[in-house]
Amino acid sequence: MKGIDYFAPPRIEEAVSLLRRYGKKAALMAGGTDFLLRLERGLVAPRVVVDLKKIRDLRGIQSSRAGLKIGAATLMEEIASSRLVQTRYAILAKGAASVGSIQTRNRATLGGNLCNASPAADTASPLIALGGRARIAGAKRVREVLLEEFFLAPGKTCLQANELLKEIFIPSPLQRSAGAFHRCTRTAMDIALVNCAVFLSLTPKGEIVQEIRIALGAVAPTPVRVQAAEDVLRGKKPDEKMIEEAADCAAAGVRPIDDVRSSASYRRAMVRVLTKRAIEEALKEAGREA
Amino acid sequence: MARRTKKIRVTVNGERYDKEVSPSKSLLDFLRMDLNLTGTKEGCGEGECGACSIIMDGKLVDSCLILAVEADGQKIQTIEGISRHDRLHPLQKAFAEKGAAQCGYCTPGMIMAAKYLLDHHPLPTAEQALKAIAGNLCRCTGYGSIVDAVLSAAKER
Amino acid sequence: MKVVGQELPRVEILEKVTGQSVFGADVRLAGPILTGKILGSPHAHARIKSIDTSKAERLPGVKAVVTAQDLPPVKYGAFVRDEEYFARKKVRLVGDRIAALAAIDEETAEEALKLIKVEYEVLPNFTDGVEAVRKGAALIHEEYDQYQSLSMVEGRKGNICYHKQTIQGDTNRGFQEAERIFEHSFYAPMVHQTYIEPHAVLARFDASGKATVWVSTQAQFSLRASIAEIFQLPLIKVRVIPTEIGGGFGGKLLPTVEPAAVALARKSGMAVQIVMSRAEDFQVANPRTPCHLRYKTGVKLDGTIVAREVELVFGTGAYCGNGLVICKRAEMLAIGPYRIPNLKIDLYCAYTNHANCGPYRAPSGPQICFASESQIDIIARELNLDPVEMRLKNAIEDGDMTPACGGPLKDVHAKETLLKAAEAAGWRERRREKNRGRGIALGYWLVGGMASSAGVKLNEDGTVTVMTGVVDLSGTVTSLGQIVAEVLGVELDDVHVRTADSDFAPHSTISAGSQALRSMGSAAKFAADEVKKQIMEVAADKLEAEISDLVVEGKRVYVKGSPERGLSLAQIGQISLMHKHGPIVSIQSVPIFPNQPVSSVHVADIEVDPETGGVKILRYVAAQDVGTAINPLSVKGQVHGAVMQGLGQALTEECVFQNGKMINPSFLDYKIFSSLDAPRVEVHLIEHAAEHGPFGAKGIGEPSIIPAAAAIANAVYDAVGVRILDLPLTAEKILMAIQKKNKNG
Repeated sequence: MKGIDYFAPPRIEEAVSLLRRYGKKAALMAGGTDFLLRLERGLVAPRVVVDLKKIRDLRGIQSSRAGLKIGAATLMEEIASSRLVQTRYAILAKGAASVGSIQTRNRATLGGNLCNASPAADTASPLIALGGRARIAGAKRVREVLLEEFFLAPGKTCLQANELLKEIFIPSPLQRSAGAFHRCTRTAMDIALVNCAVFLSLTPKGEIVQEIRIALGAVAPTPVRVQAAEDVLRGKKPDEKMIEEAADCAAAGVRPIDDVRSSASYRRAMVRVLTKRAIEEALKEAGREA
Repeated sequence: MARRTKKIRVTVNGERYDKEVSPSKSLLDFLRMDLNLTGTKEGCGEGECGACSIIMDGKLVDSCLILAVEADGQKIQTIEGISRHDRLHPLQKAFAEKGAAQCGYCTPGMIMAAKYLLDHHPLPTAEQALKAIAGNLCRCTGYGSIVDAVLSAAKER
Repeated sequence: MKVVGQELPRVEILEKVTGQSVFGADVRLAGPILTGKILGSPHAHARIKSIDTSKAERLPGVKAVVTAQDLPPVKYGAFVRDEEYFARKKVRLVGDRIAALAAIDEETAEEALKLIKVEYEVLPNFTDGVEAVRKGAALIHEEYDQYQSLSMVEGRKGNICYHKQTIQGDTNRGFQEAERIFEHSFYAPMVHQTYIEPHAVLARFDASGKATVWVSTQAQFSLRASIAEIFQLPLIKVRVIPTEIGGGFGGKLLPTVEPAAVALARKSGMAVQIVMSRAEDFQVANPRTPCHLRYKTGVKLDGTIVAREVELVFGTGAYCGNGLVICKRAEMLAIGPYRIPNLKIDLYCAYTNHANCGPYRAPSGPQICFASESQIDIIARELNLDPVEMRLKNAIEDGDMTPACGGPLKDVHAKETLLKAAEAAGWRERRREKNRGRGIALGYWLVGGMASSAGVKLNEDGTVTVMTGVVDLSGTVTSLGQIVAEVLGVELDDVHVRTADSDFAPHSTISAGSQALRSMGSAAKFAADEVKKQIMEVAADKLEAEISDLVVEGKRVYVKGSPERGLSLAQIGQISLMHKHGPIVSIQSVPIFPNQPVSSVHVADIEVDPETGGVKILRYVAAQDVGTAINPLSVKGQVHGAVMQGLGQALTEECVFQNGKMINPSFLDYKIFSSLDAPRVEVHLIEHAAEHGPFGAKGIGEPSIIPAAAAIANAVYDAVGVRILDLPLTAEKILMAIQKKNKNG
């Protein structure tokens, strides 16, 4: 960790310019809760650290008719306690509230959680279920990528050299929409062994699942959307048997691993349980949304 | 190899400090080594145990996962700064009375977490108190006496 | 009693809540302090072919590098002299010490560490005791037969560093008489104390050749002796100053970082500080011994136990260290607190390639209780007996003996504690609900007591000073103050009691084994009694009264019935200095104590989620037999903390190894209870003043860690009908067991 240089630019352009100047020797940081650990363990050894926290454009939660915009450097705690997010995009608030302790959430940022690209990231599966999009700033104009295409491998996103995540956009939910977010852990304060986010909307009469997205974390190299499971319910009138079929489908569609936290088979079993419970909860919530 | 240092200005417990630090130094080390404020402790260095909790810019944070340079321009409060002259903060009194500290190592961080709660929720429920200290590990008390102390301090304020 | 029995805050509490307390890493000196770091082996078992420290030595900012070459070739060890501080020819655990260095700052020290080059020849490693003692297993200590050991160390051979067989009666005959026989194998993996303060030391070696060591330790005199031995110094050339200790639980008794700091201080001529990282502490400190346990029990149909055979295999770590402390305890506890006419205990202590396991809070207690009490529960259910009734039928009483307990037991309150816990938990009145269960376990512990001494002196203003070297873990220091205050008729605020260092304190017992209060409290009480006598002698002389007519109370000494005929303690203090008596002071000693039985009983009400296997604790009752509670606040605090550690061992904690390396040395993956996991514990104290112990107090720190795992295991069976024989009882294991049970119909 010797001889590190530290910059805290006030504008995106300067941050991008620093990335271009130092290339692979530069590392971005926002909240630092993941980054400092990697630095401490020698997993990264940058010459230059670029702190994004002073860039105003990267902060804030803004709502419009089109949807919700959240700056990449917005604090996890701000997202978790935002009434706006809690009421209209509740599963994201729940996901954000699950990230570590209050101490962590007072530093960790949405962008950091996503760019760290852990398959278990608790904001990733809710955002995928909500149809969220990543807006990426670089030397050229801002480009947009669906969250489900943002993650490439553990620790790797689609960000190119000299790019940084600017904000997340979530389209306004349809009428009669609701979601659920469930996690499986060893103790109450824990990284997710499995997490599951379901977001669905019912037809105006409330009988048929018009749209549904199911996203799972920690059971594949990246957070994943299980479309085959969604297809079981999409356009259908859901019943218990169908929900179980969807859950089975989700369990079959993941590639969990054995690690010190859990076995692959337990993770697969929990995918089934959490998916079923999340679908049931989401349906109940959406049904109430009359 | 040349060491680059950066100048930072921080206000800690109401006192302003102008110091030069290596960019890779943690805020925890800065407080303990450069300012000799050893009340804040290191328990894991990984943001898991909360022993290093302080309040910076009005927010409860783990100082082991913050670089000192990130604290430039910030207002920081540590355990050394919550009592006024010779008067203990109600939390400190309550911790003492309720046996909420045994070995005392988690105590500074624990009290800062409790203070952060009371600053935002002056009359918390037991459940809120439990959640407020969820990021502070204690191996001695089993947390019950700590919650009792927090609720007792809230009443006194 | 006026002071004893009061829930008074700890004497040092104000320093703790203000952050003023000085812990191991908080010590500051005038003058520069070097940062020391230890290079540990990356291999669990390997021969050292070469060590090259030259590049590290040449790095600017490095002030000293030490290896085995810098220390006398001393092999040490309390029971078997099998350990050298730095590895010379072999490394036997990941983290085994190769070298240490001191530099001007942490960054330089870390960089220099990477420059030390070591060549290894890797050997097969064993982290499991049973594997280590298999025929043909590579020897961890090839020269084991050349090691010196105490005569009580029996059965040393190869990777077995201790084997003892205890036989009473005739188990073969017993099993023939039995109407049912039950046999089960259990496993309890390694768990760690995770005191929140990692090991930390600051050492200085002065021009006179004396080492001063500020350190977070439970055992300053034992540490002083170890350092003196390693460096071949007389005891008066080693001063150990215990700092405030951020948790110990039996993990801060053996030398870890201290000798390295001393060696570096000596070589560099400067003060050196070494603080373990959390990862290091997990891997090279002194966790709880992993244990395989086999229990074979023969019973009559009415539940009477007629025979019990127990086989225990402990994996004690790379060096024997305190391994035999654990084994000696195990021998006493193995068959449980029950009257069993025919028994056989085969106890093995095996070398394994991991950290020296230490006497973590009630060493061997929780593992044995998990196995023994799970099996008692199994038997009770098989025989259709109430689990409480079965235990009552067999539990020991006063006059009974258990193996190696040292004589007929006194102050046994096992049955009463059991009944109290059951009653408090509403054992008789319960409604059965699906997926909910209740489990009970009777924990057995024997508190010893080591030799100790303490002093008391009367100051010339009537205040009192207690001179003690005991380190405070459980509020011992405050309790000592209460004991002395009670004897001398003053308040706790009039008494100064803090831990003095090894140069000045009378020899003190270690703060472990629940016996600090018992031993040190007794010594302090005797010293206070003596001081009281001296006070009365001076008063008798001055007041021209008989000693037998005097009362010491309310900070005065006066004639019974005529309180105006008296003197304040302040006056006595002043008078004594002018008097033929001289200053009023006394130091008293106590020898080793006989073992004292302590019972703790837990009742757990839980709910199991049948789809995830997750356990939720709905209610938890803990009863403990404490003798006399000198300070009920401290006593209850100890019970709460012990229960929480026990529940962690039951449900979530495990040191996981892969190829000899612990793969979860962090709080991220070694899961201890946070506030959101901790149930509220209802504590019930059984108080009957014991024969030995100050004011009848028994040892309190350990017993309540013992029955937690068994109580939970029994509750899980009660809830969902699955029996799990290895810890921890994770959701995954429970779910798998439920699924297996459902498949088998």
